[in-house]
Amino acid sequence: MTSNKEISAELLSLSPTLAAIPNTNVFSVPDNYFNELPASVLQLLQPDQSFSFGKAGIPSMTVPEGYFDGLASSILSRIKSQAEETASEEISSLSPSIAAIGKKNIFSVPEGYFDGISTEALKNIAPQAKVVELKPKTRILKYMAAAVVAGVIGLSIFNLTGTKKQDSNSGYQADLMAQANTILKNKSFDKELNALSDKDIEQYLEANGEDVDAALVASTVVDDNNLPSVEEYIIDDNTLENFLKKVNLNN
Amino acid sequence: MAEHQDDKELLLEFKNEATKERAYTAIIKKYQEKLYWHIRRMVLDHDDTNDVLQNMFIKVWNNLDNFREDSQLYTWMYRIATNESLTFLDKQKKRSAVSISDDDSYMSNKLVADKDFDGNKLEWKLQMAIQRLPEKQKIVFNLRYFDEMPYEEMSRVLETSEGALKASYHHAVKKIEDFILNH
Repeated sequence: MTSNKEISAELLSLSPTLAAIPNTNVFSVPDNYFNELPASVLQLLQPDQSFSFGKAGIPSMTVPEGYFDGLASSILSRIKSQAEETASEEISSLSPSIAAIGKKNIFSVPEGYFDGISTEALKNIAPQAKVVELKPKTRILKYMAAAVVAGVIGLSIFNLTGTKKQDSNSGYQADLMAQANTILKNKSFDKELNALSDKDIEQYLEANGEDVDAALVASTVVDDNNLPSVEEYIIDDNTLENFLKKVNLNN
Repeated sequence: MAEHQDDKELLLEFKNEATKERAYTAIIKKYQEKLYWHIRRMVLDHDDTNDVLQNMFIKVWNNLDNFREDSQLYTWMYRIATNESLTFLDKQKKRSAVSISDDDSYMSNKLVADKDFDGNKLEWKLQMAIQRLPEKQKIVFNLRYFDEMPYEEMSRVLETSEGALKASYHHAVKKIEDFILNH
């Protein structure tokens, strides 16, 4: 033991008698004890293996690679598992009377209950699969109206260009064409249509021979992405008819 | 006992849209009974248990994508089941206008109402004693006594220190023993 000068000086100032006694260890240790200590400890932990250490404290047997890296955590785990008693051991020591009662299940469960839980649980979650949505009635009505109007315009154009004769109503038709032209030019078709109520549109369609109910029913199974755009109705007045045929075929 | 998939595999499958429902079903089948009995020992009635269990599984569906895997899947679900049960019991007591002083006898009375109740049998007496415990202490007792859950795992489920859990369990055992010996 290296002497600490400060501590020695302190002791001398406190008690010269004590300071005069030599600082020697009176306890004895068996020969080679410390050299053999590591091997002894390892032997306790791993009784299946044998260890021996040379005089310099260097093991004379080889040790698996990485052995010492994991040794600390492995020892801690063993200590922990030995220290924690099981629940059964615990209750037996805490209360033998409760332990003696046992764990008989007193609650009954309807027959087949556990077989059906997962099915019930799946019903409760939000549907993830393809959704068949009901289309808003208004949108379909407006598409139909657009098609009819386009058809009227188309027919008017045909009459004007096809017959090439002056009609007594040519002034009216010219106004109609001029108005249609303005709507198309200003792209205000939607605006014009939106100004009308569902009832007005339905009455107009039925007056023009359209089966509104059939078209609405057909619309309930249509995927939104397949609906033609408004412009398509203007270009081709057969768009609605072709579209409804397509829906019926798919059904 | 049926072979169940590893939790890590199930979580991976759940994250894949194509296998999400199949993984969810497998998770339910793997843990349904343990979770059912944990809830049942708290709420007592089968129909109430079924409601709580269904709500619990809905929460699992909605939140499993965000599960961080820093705890075991089972520990996480156990925690949800515990919280759902406690919430259910709170609401039930409020609806029944149960006062704090009547709290310990409310659940005992519910137990007595069970069609299979037999006060002469020790296992029913044990349940009577358990139902007189405060809610959290009841949960600790049930987890340790019936599920034999290690304190370390219980600590993660209930987010309470192991020392506090051990103390709670020891107190619970003493209270239960006193009740059984005196009734």
